[in-house]
This record gives sequence, structure tokens and C-alpha cells, in this order.
Amino acid sequence: MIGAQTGRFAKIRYRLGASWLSLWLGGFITLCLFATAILSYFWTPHSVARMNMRARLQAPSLDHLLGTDHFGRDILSLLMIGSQSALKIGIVAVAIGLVLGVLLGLAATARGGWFEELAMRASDLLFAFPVVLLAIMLAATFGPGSVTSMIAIGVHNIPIFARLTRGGAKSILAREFVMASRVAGRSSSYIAALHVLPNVLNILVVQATISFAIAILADAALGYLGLGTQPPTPTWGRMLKDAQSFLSQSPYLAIFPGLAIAFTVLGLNLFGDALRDLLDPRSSQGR
Amino acid sequence: MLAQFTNKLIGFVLTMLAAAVLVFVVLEVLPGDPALVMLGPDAQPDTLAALREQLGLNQPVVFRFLSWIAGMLWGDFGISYAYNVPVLGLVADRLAVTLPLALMAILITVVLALGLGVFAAANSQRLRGQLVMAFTQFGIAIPSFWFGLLLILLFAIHLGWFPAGGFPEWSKDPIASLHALVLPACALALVQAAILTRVTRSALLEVLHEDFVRTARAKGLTRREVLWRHALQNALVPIATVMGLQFASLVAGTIVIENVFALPGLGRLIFLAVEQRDLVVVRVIVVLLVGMVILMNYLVDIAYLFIDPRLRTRRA
Repeated sequence: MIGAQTGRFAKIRYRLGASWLSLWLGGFITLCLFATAILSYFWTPHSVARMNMRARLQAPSLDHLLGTDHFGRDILSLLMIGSQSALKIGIVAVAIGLVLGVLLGLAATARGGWFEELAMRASDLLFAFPVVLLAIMLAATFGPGSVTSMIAIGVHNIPIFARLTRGGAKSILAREFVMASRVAGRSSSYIAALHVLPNVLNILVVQATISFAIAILADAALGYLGLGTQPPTPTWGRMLKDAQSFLSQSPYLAIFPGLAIAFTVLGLNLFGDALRDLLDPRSSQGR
Repeated sequence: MLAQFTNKLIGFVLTMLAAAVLVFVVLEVLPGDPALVMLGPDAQPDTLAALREQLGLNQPVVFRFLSWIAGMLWGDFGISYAYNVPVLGLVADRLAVTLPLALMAILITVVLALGLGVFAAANSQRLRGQLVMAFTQFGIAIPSFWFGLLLILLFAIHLGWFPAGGFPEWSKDPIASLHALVLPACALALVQAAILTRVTRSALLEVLHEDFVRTARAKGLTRREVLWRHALQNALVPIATVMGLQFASLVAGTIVIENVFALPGLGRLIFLAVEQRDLVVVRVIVVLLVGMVILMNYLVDIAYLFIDPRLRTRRA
């Protein structure tokens, strides 16, 4: 019996240890990404504003660490600048989903009744529209661009945050301290803002991290399709699109932007998973 | 159970209707004048007027919506502006590529995910089980279109085993058509399989703690029999849920992947339609694809009743 107990504690410690490792690793990758984006506003190894046709499609060298593209621009510099738009779109898209989703979820729980039913049905409906389809509809009516990308990804995030908020809020509204607050004459919106919100903050932070990763993936796909940020602003997705035409000549053109996306997403996912395990040990069962 | 079916059916029809309203509002009402969107700002007034007439834009919005819905129910999807042919025919042709592609991707996903998921659950305390989980982290982080490019690079350009893109018609050479779908289906399946593997593993781990698993082992069944027959069957509800949710990302994935491999499917068609501002085609395909997602969720809902008898309501 005692052996089983220590075994279990050892397992928990092992699991949390692994969580700390992914927290640090994921946090480090994410930090690097932000640092790169900020750095690229002030400095890049080469200027990407000018084309240099004599240096086009060069393989990686000491001068151009990751080679050059079909306009002779330095790939490393392009990737660094590309991180700006990836982060910008990710942040705005998550903010749209977070703010509107939380408001919708809180309003649904506070009002209850037919409003709750309607709000949840509406968010179910929205969830059936994949990001790419939303972006296609917006691009067809308003034209492609970074705003199209942000709105499409942001709107797709609304139902996710609305559901999470409502799920968390439901269980908190049934607790005694909320009941006491109600008896004391507090309004529903007061209770929602001061009691419910702080208690669902943990899961919202975790979901925001995961949604951020998904937003970067989605934006890359939209950029690849030409629905997202338009040239001349360099984006990772767009770089992959351009690289496809030179796949047999310069394969590394297609390697580095993909690695940039994959590492960014991996870092954010590790960070988010670890946060979930550490903030809410109950949900880490079997992960 | 019959009452549950009808309730869900009514929900399905209402959701479909709401989806159609949403699509109609975004593509027909928000732009103000769809004819202007389709022809661009330099259009001649008489061309604009002619297109408005052809699209029936002079009629009230509600009438236009109702006649669009009624038309679709009768199989009349409208006339494509860019191709000047009925949209129904266009869509049917493209489905012959998209549907097999999606099915192949689902098949690969399920085989990979169940296999790897069961393996990872059975070896959850060992290094090889942890390795599978590490791989799934990479699988989730890799954009499917980039994986497609990498597959082209390795298997089409370097090894020459598969075509880099394009699609021979089914009627000419079915084997070559199938062959052309292998790489795109693999590219689609990777991410999906990575997610489903994780779900399968955690669902199984949960079930493996239950008493009936111990009983099954105690009565002499082998580990493999318990895993595949008893545990997996009881872990199916979360697995089916996630598969249903994944269908939406599969639909989105086909749009992207068809463009990577230049496959003449629905995704390619809707993408070209956006470039040509052919709102009639965009509208129909969006509704069709979203409809498939909603239908899939509905089917998963029904599947629960078969997988788990406890979810069936008994007649009082």
C-alpha cells in the first residue's frame, strides 16, 4: 500500500517535472519568437526592400545564412520580418475571439433561458465554418488581406472561448459564495465580472495560448493561398507559396519558412499544454 | 430512440437553414451590390444592369433567398458566371476528386491513429510510448500544406515515385488517378492522425483503469485481446467525437491541399471562383461544405446512440 502511494507520488512528480520542462522549452521558443519580431523592426542581416537579381536563388552561405529567394533577398531577413505579421495576426485574432467569446459566454450564463440557448446554437453554427471557408467568403466580398485573415481566424475563435467561459461559469454560479453575493443584492453582471471571470481565467489563458498556435497555422495556410497579408509584406505562408515554383532548383526555399512555422507552433503548444497541467492538475490525467 | 432521432433531425434542418442565411448575408447582402463585386469598379453600366437582371438582384432580398433555397432543393444551383454553365455540373465533376481524396485521408488517419494510439497507451510508461507522443507534438505543429511540399520534394522530385501534382481523369486510368491522390491524402492525414492518436491514447488510458479490464485479464484474455476488443470499444465515444470535430478541419484541409497538388476538386474550384469573383459558385460550395460538416456532426451524434446504449433514452 505504501509502495503504491509513493509510486503514485513519484508519477505525479515525474509528470509535473515533464510539464516544467515543456513550460521552459515552450516559453523559451515563444520568447525567442517575440524577441526576433521586435529585433526585426530595428535590424535584419540584409535589407529586404531591394531586389538583387544577381544574387537570386543562392544556397545557404556565410553571407546569406539561409540563402536567397528568387528576387535575391536574404531568407533569414525575410523570415525575421515574417514573424512580425504572424505575431500581429495571431494576437489580434485571439483577442477578437477572447473578448467576444468571453462576453458571449458570460452573457449567456448570466441571462440564461432562451438567450443562452440561442447564443450557444449560434456559436455551434459558427464553429461549423472552417477558417479557410470564412476567409474565402470574406475575401470574395471584401478582397484578401491581413484584415480578412484576422477577422476570419478571430471569428472562428469566438465559439471556442464562449463554450469554455460558459462551461466554467456554470459550475461557479452553483457555488455558495455566488449565492451569497446574489442574496446580498449584487446584479448578474457584477457577479459575472467579479466572481466568475477570475475563476475561469486559468482555462482562458491556456486556451488563448493554444488558439494563438492555431491562429499562426491558419494564417500561414491563408498566406499560402494568397488570401492573407498581401505582398510586398513578407509572410511565412507566402514564402512557401513562392518557394513551390522553385522546388526542384532550390529546395531549401521551401524548408526554412516551414521550420519557422513548425517551431513557433510547437513552442506555443508545449507552453500551453504545460500551463494546463500546472494550472489545473485535474485535467492532466492521462495526458 | 425514434424521438431522439426526430429531435436531432429538426435541429439539423434548422442549423442548415441558419448556415444558409449566414452565407447569404455575407455574400449577397454585405457587399451591397454583388454585381459590382463580380464585375469590378470599371464595369460599364449596361453590363452591370444586365448582370443584375441575370442574377435577379432587382428582386427583394427575402425573395432572392427563398428562391435560392428552393432552387437548391430542386437541384438548381444557379449558373456560374465565370464558366457560364450550371453550377451543379461543375460541383459534381469536382466532387469526383474531393470525395475520394477525403475518404482516403480519413482511412489513413483512422488506421494510423488507432494503431499508434493503442500502441502509445499500451506502452505509456515506456520510452517507445513517449516517443510516439513526441512525434504527435511535431505532427500537430506542422502545417499540412508544408508537409505536402516536403512530400513532393522527397517522393515526386527526388524519388519520382508519385506525381508532383495534377490529376488524370478517372475514366482514362483509374489506377493513375488513385496514385495521384496518395501524396495529398497523406499530407492531409498527418495532422489529423497526430491529434487523433493523442485522443485515442488518453481515452484508452482512462478505460484501462476500469474494473472490467481487470476482470477480462483475470479470466485469461491476452493483453492484446483486452486492448483491442474491450478497451478500445469503450473508448470509442471520445474518439468518435473528435473525429466528427476533425471533419471541419479536413474540409478546410482539402481546400489547401488541392491547391498544393493542383487537383481539380472543390477546393480548387472555390479558390478559382474567389479569384474570378464568381459569387454564385462561392456561395454554393460554401453551403455545400459547411452542410457536410453539419451533417457529419449530426451523424456522430446519432453514432453515439449505437456506440453507447446508455445514451439511449428508454420509453417511460
